[in-house]
Amino acid sequence: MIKVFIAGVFALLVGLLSASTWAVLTIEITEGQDTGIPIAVVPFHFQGQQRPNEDIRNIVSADLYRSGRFLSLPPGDFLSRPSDPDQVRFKDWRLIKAEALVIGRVSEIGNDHYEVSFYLYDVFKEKLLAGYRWTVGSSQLRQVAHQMSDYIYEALTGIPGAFDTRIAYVTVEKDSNNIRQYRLMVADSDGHNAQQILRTNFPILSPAWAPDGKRLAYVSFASRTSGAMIWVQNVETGDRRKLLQEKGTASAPAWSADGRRLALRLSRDGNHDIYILDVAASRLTRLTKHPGIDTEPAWSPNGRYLVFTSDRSGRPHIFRISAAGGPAERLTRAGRENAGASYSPNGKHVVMVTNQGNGDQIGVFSTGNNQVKVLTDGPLDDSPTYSPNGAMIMYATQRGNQGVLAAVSADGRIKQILRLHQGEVREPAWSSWKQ
Amino acid sequence: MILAVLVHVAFGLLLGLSLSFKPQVIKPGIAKPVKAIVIDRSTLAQEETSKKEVEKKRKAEAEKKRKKEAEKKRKAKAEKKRKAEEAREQEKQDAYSALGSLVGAIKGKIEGNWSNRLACSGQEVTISVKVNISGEVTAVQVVGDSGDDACRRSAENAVYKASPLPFPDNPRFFKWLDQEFQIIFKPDI
Repeated sequence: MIKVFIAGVFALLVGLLSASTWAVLTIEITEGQDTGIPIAVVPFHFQGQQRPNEDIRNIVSADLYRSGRFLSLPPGDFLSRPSDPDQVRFKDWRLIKAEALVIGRVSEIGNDHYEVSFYLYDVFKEKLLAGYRWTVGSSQLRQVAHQMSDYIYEALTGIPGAFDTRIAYVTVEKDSNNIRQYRLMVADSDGHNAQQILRTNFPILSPAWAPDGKRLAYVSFASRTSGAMIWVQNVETGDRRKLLQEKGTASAPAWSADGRRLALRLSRDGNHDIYILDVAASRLTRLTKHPGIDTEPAWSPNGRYLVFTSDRSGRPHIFRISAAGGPAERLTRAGRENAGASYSPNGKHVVMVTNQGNGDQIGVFSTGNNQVKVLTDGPLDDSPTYSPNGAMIMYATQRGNQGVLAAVSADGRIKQILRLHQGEVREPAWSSWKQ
Repeated sequence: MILAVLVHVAFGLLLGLSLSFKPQVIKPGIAKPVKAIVIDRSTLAQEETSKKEVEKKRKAEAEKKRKKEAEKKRKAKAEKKRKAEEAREQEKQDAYSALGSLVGAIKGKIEGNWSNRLACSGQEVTISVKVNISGEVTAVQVVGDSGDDACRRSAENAVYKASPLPFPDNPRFFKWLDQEFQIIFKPDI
């Protein structure tokens, strides 16, 4: 017994003496460059007689850059320009530290008919991540490019891309007779391909996309003295239906996620309050009853709450109320004023217009820790709207006498102007993906 | 017959000759008195013993000398071994401190190549990295389950792009160092 014990102790000692005194070296990395994923999008090879007007490579590169998640490497640095898989030499791309590579071709296959294809590679793993082909007319080439950006974005970030989506907005400008013209416009998510949906001499307010990505609700007026009309219009067909005819004013329609209800600000009961319209049944329910001004409702993604702007405690701030009604709780404390709130698609953040003493800026309020992060410079930033994947925020702003539509990445890193207008640009709304 | 007679005559002559020689008289020296020593058995034995003792002593001395030599050799050998051990230990420590002084540079180079921290927001991922003597990254492996695909890819790419990593390039050090180490990517955003 003792012998066993001694042998054991001896073995232990031997073990301890021979064991390495050096544990595995571990280094902790917390800092980084935050430039975004370096991606090389090689100019596409064109085969055919008539080169199309749209440069797919440039549209994709611009989409990826605007998202704030990518660093699009300049083609001037490329050591080779493959357009086929067997032309790819991964060493060329490792050398310029590209983490991802996109190559593609456009071939004219008929009159105004093109075949577009691309491949996406993980450079260091030398692995093909995605490859797709389209056959389209020239008018669809921009959409092909945005779909391509969506595939690339999702493959590399894990988040669905929102480039193949649309935006709606209102423009106001004085015509040659000095009369104000209001236009409801729909454009691609990058501001291109703008189409006029409606033009009137009287205000158009608050366009709001239905969750199906095809219909828009908005407020318009028949004359200077008429009450507000709430419309729903199919953007593709032009068909529209009047949901409400008010005697007083109305604004800020907001669709619930299931598309069945529309929250609105009405003044029919002598005060500005939030109401909920059951669209199919045309039934209206009053949600807020406070004597203050309650406006700008927005639904939480799970449909249980609405946030809205109210001055019931003095200056405008963001409040939250259950969709079933009841007391409203105040969400924002910091800043002089907060208004125009809407939820991020994951329900964790609320984007809004915030005044922290620097004019109107776009800020993001986190429901988890009540912190506000200011994303833009102001002083005239307004109407923020999230992209359907929550990665970007579009908003309206003013530069001198020019109205500006701008986009900022959700982390605030990349800001870009999408459109410039003589006159004003108001109330952008970002559609969800088409159902 | 004649032969026999001749032989007899020869011998006869010889005899005559010999008779004519007169021996020289050699006067012997004075003989030393031959004194016999009584052989003493005990002394004999003593002599024997002391002879043995001398032999023993001699052997003992030789043994002592040999032992001393062996001890000296052993000590010298042990000393040499100890010095070699010490040198190895020192080399090991030098290797570790060379690596230690490079940890900052390794960290800086990887940080400089982590282009997409946002992918790991709120997450962390551990990467096991192997390098060769030139610091070139030879293997990159995600350890464990943490981190989604985009986060893992951003960390792996940071390491690939940072290759070659600053690593002690002294061949004497290389044998001491684990050419494998771990990097924990944990952004503060």
